[in-house]
Amino acid sequence: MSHDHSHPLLRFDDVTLGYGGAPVLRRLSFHICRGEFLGIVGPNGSGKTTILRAILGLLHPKEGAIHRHGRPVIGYVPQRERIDTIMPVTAVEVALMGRAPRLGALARLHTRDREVAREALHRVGVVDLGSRLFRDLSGGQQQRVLLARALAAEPDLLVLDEPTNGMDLGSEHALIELLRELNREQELTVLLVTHLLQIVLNAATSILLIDRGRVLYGEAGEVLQEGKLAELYGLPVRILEADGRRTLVVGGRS
Amino acid sequence: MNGMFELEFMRLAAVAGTAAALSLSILGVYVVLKRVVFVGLTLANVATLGAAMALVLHLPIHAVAIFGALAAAAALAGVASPRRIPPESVVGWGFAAASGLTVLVLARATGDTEAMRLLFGNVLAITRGEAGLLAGIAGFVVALHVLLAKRFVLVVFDPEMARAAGIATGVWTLVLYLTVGGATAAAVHETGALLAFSLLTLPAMAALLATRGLKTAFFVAAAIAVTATLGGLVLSFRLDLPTGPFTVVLLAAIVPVAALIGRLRR
Repeated sequence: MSHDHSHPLLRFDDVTLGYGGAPVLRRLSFHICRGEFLGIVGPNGSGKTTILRAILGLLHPKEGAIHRHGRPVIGYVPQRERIDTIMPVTAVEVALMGRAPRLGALARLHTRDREVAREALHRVGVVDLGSRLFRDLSGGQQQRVLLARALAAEPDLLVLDEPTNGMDLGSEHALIELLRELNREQELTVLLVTHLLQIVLNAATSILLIDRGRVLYGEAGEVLQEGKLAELYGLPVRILEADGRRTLVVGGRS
Repeated sequence: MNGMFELEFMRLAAVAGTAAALSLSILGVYVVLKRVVFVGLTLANVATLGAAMALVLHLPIHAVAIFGALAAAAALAGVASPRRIPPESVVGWGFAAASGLTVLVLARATGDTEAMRLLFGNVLAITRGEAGLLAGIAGFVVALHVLLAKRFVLVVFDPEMARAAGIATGVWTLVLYLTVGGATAAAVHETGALLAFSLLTLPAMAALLATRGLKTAFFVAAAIAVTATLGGLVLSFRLDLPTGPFTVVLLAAIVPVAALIGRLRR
């Protein structure tokens, strides 16, 4: 799939990010174009959340600039664990919250808003759970409802923060496949932040790897090379392929 | 009962009680769901402190009570607690300080009756002006929260997503706390801090225990609060018991019943 790199949806130019006096990340440059799937991968504490906050407009760069082409609407899927599920809201009500960026504070919900929310629940395969309370759903179902909420915003860019945390293998696979399908078949631009490279290995079209202050960024084919990964992680890394899918083997003989 | 409401003080008490019950119970749903019930208690005590200071300094009681509670609400909405202690402990500090200061200030007050009213409230001693003020503030708070319910729900449910959607969550949290502060302070002089706090937390607790959906919880909380307030007024009058504490006990008794209903409905 080719992407128009002349007008990226979002571009970081030599961006330095941090809180207070100390920078967390220095001179970071990357971009995401329409239809791309960018995986931002790094261990805990590497600065992934800091980048995410900057993408969402919640943190301003200390140096450099973040360019947004045409004020893209962002559909955001936060880490599920950060949501306090005590509130008795149904899956449909959660999905309808996704309409907030498109509605004023005083605006009432119209038929179209309800249709968009229902369609979003349908797209992620949980339309039958619409009337169930969010807190009564399984972790995987909750994650899908949060994804539906982000899709209900009719986003230009879908941003997900560690969406597979706490999921079993089956739910994790199903979610990544769903994101891959949304990206490939419906050309939805996806930015996924994770601490596991394996999560985005077969889905991302471009990858930004961060580890101990070092950054490796490029199209997936360029970044996913054994030599480059071994150099970044300081460990032998092998990329194996079976049935057209890649998997990582870390450690062992170099 | 008709004869009872031919008495003007009973009619005024009914109006003021209903107004306080409506506004506080609706706000209480957010307060309980945000896990900040002690914010309500602290604001009620700060309002009492404001009223006590106004009494001693011969200033307008309502104005000082409301101003004090609004200032405290703004501080509680915006203050970041040190990382070594949970935010709730800052609220506890506010409660302890306000309660202690209120007793000290009232020790300097000349009129014991008014001082007792400030501490425990007396819904039967309400004037027309006070009932009108309470009804006006309650009307404003209810209208604001009906019109802007979607925003408040989003900000309470998922502030991070709300911020990402460009919503100024700090402002909305401030407005929520200010309305809690304003409604509590308006009620405190008439109902006392205990009943104001009880109306803020107990109907919401009962509604959330007995019902399943959020919308239903708001309606049921309001219905419980108004029913208990009017029921407390009538029954306490008949039984010759103090209205405020009687209503508090009535509200407290509803909570386990609601929990049982909720369990049976599961």
